[in-house]
Amino acid sequence: MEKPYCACATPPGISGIAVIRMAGEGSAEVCDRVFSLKRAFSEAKSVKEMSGYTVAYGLIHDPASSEIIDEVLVTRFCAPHSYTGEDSVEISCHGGVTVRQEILRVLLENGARMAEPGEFTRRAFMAGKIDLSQAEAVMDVIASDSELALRAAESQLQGTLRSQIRKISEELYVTFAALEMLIDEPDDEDAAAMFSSNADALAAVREKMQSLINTYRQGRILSERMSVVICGIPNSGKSSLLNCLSGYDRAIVTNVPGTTRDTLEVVTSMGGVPVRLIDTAGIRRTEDPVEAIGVSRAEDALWEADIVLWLVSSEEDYEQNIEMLTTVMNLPSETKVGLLISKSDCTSKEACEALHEKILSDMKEKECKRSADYYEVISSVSREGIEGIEKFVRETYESLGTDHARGVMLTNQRHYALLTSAAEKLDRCIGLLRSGSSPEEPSLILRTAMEDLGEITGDSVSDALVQTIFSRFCVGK
Amino acid sequence: MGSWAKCNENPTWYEAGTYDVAVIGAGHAGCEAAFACAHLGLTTVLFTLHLDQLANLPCNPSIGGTAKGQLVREIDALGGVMGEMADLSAIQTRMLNRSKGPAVFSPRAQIDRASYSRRMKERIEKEENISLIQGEIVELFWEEQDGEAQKLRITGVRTRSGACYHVRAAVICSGTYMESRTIRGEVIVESGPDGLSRSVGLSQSMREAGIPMQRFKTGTPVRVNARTVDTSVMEIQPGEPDMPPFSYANEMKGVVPKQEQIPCYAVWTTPLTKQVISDNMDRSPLYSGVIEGTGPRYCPSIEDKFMRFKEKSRHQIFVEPMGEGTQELYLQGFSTSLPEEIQVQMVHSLPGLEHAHIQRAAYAIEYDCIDPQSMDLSMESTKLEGLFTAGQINGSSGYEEAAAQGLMAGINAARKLRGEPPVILDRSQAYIGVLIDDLVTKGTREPYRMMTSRAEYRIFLRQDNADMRLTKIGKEIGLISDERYSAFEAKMNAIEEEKERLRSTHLPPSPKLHEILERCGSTVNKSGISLAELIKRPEIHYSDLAEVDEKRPELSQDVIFAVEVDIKYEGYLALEEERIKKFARLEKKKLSKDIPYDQISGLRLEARSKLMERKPMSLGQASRISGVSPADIAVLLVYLESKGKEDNGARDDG
Repeated sequence: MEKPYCACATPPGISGIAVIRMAGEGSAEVCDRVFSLKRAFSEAKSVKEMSGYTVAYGLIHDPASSEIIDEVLVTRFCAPHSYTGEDSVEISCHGGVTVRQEILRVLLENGARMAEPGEFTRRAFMAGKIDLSQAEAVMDVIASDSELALRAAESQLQGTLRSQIRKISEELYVTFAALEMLIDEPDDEDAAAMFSSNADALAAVREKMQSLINTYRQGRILSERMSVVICGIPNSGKSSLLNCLSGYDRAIVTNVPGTTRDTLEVVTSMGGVPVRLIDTAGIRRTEDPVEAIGVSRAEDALWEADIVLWLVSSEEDYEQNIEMLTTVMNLPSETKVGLLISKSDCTSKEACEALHEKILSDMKEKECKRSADYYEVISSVSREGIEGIEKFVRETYESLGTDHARGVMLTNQRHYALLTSAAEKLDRCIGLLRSGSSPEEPSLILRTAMEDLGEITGDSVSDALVQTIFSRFCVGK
Repeated sequence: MGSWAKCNENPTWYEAGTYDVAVIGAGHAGCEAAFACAHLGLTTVLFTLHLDQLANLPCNPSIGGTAKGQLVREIDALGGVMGEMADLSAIQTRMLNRSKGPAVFSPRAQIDRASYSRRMKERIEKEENISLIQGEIVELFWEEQDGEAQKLRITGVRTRSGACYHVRAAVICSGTYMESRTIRGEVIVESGPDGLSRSVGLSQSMREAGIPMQRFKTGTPVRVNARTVDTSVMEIQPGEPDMPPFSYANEMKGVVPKQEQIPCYAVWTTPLTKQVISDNMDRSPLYSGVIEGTGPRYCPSIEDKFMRFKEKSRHQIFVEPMGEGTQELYLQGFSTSLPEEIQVQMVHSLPGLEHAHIQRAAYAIEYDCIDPQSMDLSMESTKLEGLFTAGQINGSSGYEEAAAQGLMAGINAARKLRGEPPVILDRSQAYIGVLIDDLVTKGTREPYRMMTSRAEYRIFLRQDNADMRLTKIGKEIGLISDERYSAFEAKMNAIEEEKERLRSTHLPPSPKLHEILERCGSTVNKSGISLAELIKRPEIHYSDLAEVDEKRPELSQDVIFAVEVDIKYEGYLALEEERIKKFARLEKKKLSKDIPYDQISGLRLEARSKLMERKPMSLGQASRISGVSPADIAVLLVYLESKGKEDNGARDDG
């Protein structure tokens, strides 16, 4: 008989509780060997006797040494009503690293085996519980740690994206069929009229595709995170702000200028939006070659940022900020810039206002291409203005504009690439039809566009995709 | 039933001989099958119901056309005979679809029907390994293998007159003759096409071997006497005498189609035609339910066209000559099963045909055929080992479709007896591959006609490059002579050299070039440009550049065509190549026959039973079985992956 397989289903690291999942025939028996049941719903005396979707309280022990390992809750799932369609149990234990390792050890010593990467989802898929695009979405759910990303992934899990893409595909098929018919019917009449009416039809579908593609501006942020870059001259309080926003002492905070020589990145969520918070080296002229590398990386980061938070500290020598000002205020307008007067706890309100006025007049003088999208006086110590920054991030995300009510959003890079490729082909096809070429070429282009869409919906299967999807799963999912 | 033992018990039966292969039926499929077997060294007995009607064209007097022309070229590239014979009997040639891109250019020839049949008969009679016999096969003999009643193998065939032949394989190409009946209105005659006698009993014998049968219907229009037709009011459709022949072999030998070509004509139906038909629909056997067989959607009768396309007020009819030594004209697009007296009114409603004298009335014909899903891709029955089927018996329609299947069935019957693996062309290699894969994998519920839209890799599957795609395979099979192969290689070299020359020849700006570009409506370039870059422009053709291309070598028409297509469509061809690579990945994943599909729980129930029943050869083929969804294929992919059972063993499919 095949052994049941187990793995920790919650992410590594310290957490309040952790869940160890075991599935396959004999899961309950293996669990009973290491679990002394104290209290359960109904009369169940063992995991084996428990009915599906019920929970028991008890202790996990090592049968070899009779040592107690942890106090746990065991949830029982009976085939076929489980994630993988097999008998399975989930052990909710305390979140320490040692506890988890010990529980896995006793399970392995008592008849279970370690799950392979992606095995739980692969089995769920094999049992017909989920299809390929849902499997892909499961991965997105697992990877998402913000509320918005989870919602988007769940909507994909339910197939909303797929049904929309399918509809687009069906509309393309109408034109495709018309072109094919024209090729097969040698004596059909007005080809030119047919070309132009089909070009119009395709153009309408193309628009629908575009609005779906546009959702990726937001959707990308849900999967890849919004990049928020903190910049400012050395010692303007960037690292303090980073620590304040992320809640960790990620950056080393000192008051020696030039401490942060490289860019530092923290993954967190701000206002519900998943962000990569990037702390840059201060931008200033420097002789130190190591610091110079940091400075150039900081400039790169600015150009790739979705949001730039420019810190100006009132107590520093203001003139040093001029170089920064011209860099930031000449960024492309898609990059949102927040101007933050920092360390408000050390200066007066009036001094902050005066500084703001000075910056605005300098921007005019330097003929900057843009202005700041947001202004705030903040303090990383008193947390003054911090809530405002989070709101600014959230609003920036929302300004990327997606109709949330419709609930469909592209979040997956692969989907985006395929949809964009299909859209480009559609443009080519429309061009060919409008120029009145023969039906053969537009028909081929259209066919390949539909094949691209099919790879999103799973209607055209490629072995490469199956490989990629399952290799990206980590153990326990 | 089906056993040799009976031969000894029945006093009127006798042992008539032993052959490697029996080919039953000498139509377009049967002739190709017999030639293939004979050329591959097998002793072949070819049975026909009517010695004077070999390779008959009982319907349209033409070979080729959209998608069908591609088939003829492919048959020829593999070493079949249809193209060669068609060139010799052509009385008009044309390239269809000229406005629709070179991928779908389709050669078609009007054929002198009597000449075609006579030439084919003579050629078969001269063939060393073929015994041509007039006789009706009414029974197949078989034996159980390894004592299993489910595993049958063919051992012989019997004619109505009692002659029993020992054979190791048989190819049945029964056309529309099995248990056929013709229908005109209320008049039903138990007969084959053209009033010829039909085949009785063979179909029952096949049924007893466990082969699932279906009943199909097709039809043919009236023939009229040209003397009574006024063609002056019709649109004339002249031929194109400078067309290259169908056959690469003929091209090599310098055989060209006839130069004095006979024209065809086109007319439109009139409001009266529609009136006559709708007034008499109650007498149509199709609508009254007399006809049980399923008819072809793509080649409907005229009443069917009016009924199904109500928005169209008229339909085009083509008037085509039946041959040189006859006054008979064929009315293409005017097939019907309405009663004879109505047919007269219908014909007289057409312009120029008001006084036409009908020589043969139109009819519908019903016949027995097999469910082609009971074959494997080599065209061998999965129910009766050693039995191959080709042509209309497999549910197809059309001479070219039949010939293509006959050739492949003949080749694979021979290879089986020689202990060689079958040749299976895939969908990216040939229309033939598409045709057979469609029939075997998807099955058909109506007579299957080849169409360009059925081929997914059309830009690559062109009529002009059939030799590039298939001659090498034909050579490996053994149907292409050394002489012909070296001619092919020379042509390939010429194409490559010319492409290279065009790419490397740069033209400086000159008044002559300027003039040519302006004449073609192209943009004038100021710096130099290569010939290839010029040809890449849609508005410029190879022939336009003759004046400025001084070192142009003397090349044949088809080399020039291939060079031009390759250069002009470079981008599309590259795109197609990518798609073919993707396609090939699933085709290469072979599925072993012992996969327990019924135990793979991720597969939907329908897919499980379909896969258990059909046992597809590859994941690609599985994906085309109706009832197997992409999700099921993904499940199979993961299954193969996790079982590590994938058989990547080098199986040579051609």
